Amino acid sequence: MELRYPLSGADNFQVLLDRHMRKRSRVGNVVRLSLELDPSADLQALAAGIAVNRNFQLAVSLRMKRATLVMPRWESRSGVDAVENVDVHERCTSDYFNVMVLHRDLPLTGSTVRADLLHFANGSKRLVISAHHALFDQRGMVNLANAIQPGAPPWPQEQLFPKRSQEHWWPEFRNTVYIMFYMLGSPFWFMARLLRGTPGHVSNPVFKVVQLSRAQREVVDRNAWAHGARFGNSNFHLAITLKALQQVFDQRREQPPYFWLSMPVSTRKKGSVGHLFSNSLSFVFARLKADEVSDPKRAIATVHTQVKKQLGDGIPHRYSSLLNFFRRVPLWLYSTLVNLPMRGDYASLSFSDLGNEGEGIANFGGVPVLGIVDYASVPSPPGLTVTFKRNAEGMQVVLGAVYEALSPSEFDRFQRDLVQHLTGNDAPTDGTGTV
Amino acid sequence: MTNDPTQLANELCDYLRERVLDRNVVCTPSTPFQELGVDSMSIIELVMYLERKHGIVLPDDALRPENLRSADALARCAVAIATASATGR
Repeated sequence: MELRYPLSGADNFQVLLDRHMRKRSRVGNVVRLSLELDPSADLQALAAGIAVNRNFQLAVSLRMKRATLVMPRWESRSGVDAVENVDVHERCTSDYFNVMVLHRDLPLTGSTVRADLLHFANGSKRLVISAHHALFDQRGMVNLANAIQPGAPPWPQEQLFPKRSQEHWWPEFRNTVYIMFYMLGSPFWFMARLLRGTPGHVSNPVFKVVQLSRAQREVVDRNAWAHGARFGNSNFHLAITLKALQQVFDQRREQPPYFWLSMPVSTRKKGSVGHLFSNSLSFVFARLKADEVSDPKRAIATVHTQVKKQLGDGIPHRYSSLLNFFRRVPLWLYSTLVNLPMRGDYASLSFSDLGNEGEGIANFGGVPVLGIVDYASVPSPPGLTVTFKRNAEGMQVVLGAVYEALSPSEFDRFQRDLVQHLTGNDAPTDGTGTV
Repeated sequence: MTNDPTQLANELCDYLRERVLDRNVVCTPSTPFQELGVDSMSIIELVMYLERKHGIVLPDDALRPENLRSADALARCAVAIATASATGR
């Protein structure tokens, strides 16, 4: 049965980001979920099971269709061989993982999902699910990991995609104008930028995975409270990340007056598994002056005030309207309008805090899952992505950067400073390393 | 302003059902927010709702994890603060 569904506004934004990334890097807006499998896993059997899974077959058949004056849409195509999108790699090395698997591209004109099963020389085994961000948000990736398990039933038809927006074009247009003026009034011209200079291709991103223990997480929680973080620790994580970033600028003897970034807000209804495909994201924004960033307590208070004000003004809803409205215009025009206030630099960094999201995958095809790592995409500019997550072991921070934004020594220092500020001491982290 | 924590907790549940939760989710005043999948943004919205609708402003010190655990806990905290404020304590 052929499937057709319009892109959501958030999908279309991820397509825009993909276009932005492809202008300067070799890979597009691809996200990855890496599952550390129990060494007893039979990778060939898992691969065979994934290839015949109905949800996987549907996922690999979906393509984006875009034409002038027609709303962009997802379309399933027949005759796509799912086997071509599953690979088993024996005697895998960390170099192969870094160079081949983490940088494998998934263009929107081809299959937007693939699965790589890796058997490392030390006996460890991983499943890496790569997917285009335009088709999957964070919850969607977790759903995908559950949906493509060998023997998993087909995802309910009515829950494949989210409900369509019923908003009339007029309030949508009104919200769009409101947000455009709101964004034009922001001080993007002076924001902190790591990646500058003449346009040119950047290198592939490098990722670092920092795993903090439960004891360290408790220290982080206490520090967050002591610094005035309420409603969870996200604002503390953000403030500390910005402080570590500011130290990079200090080293460069640069003093950017503002830091600016967007924080994703899931608009999915809470409490249920929800849909499989398509993004349901909106954003709130943080704009911090340099002197606020240098004092995490002030930074947290400022972010809290800004987020509260934006929620009160309905910014996430209005921004969703803007994203929906921009599905009606050509991508080049959308890109021009976004770049107008931003000069092609989307933010000071990409930041997200997943909370406990993603901890719902205890096993895959009957094989225990020992750990999960989320590798977010690294749009460049800004060239630095930081993702926080609470997990069973404690807390995980995944850093991704291109060396044109952060040199190897700056990246090491940024990681060290970040951990030191989080834990409030110089204690080494367990399991820290570049993967 | 209400001084009945049970009534207020039910009101908060109604707000969650209407604005935040999937329609199939069962929300009771004692159901932990974490179990419902309610995130920090939604809790901020609840606190703002208390300010807007009931004029109850929760001071910084009241925003402790134990007070933000469930609708019931949040309502009890809000009523205690409102009562203390009304009696000038």
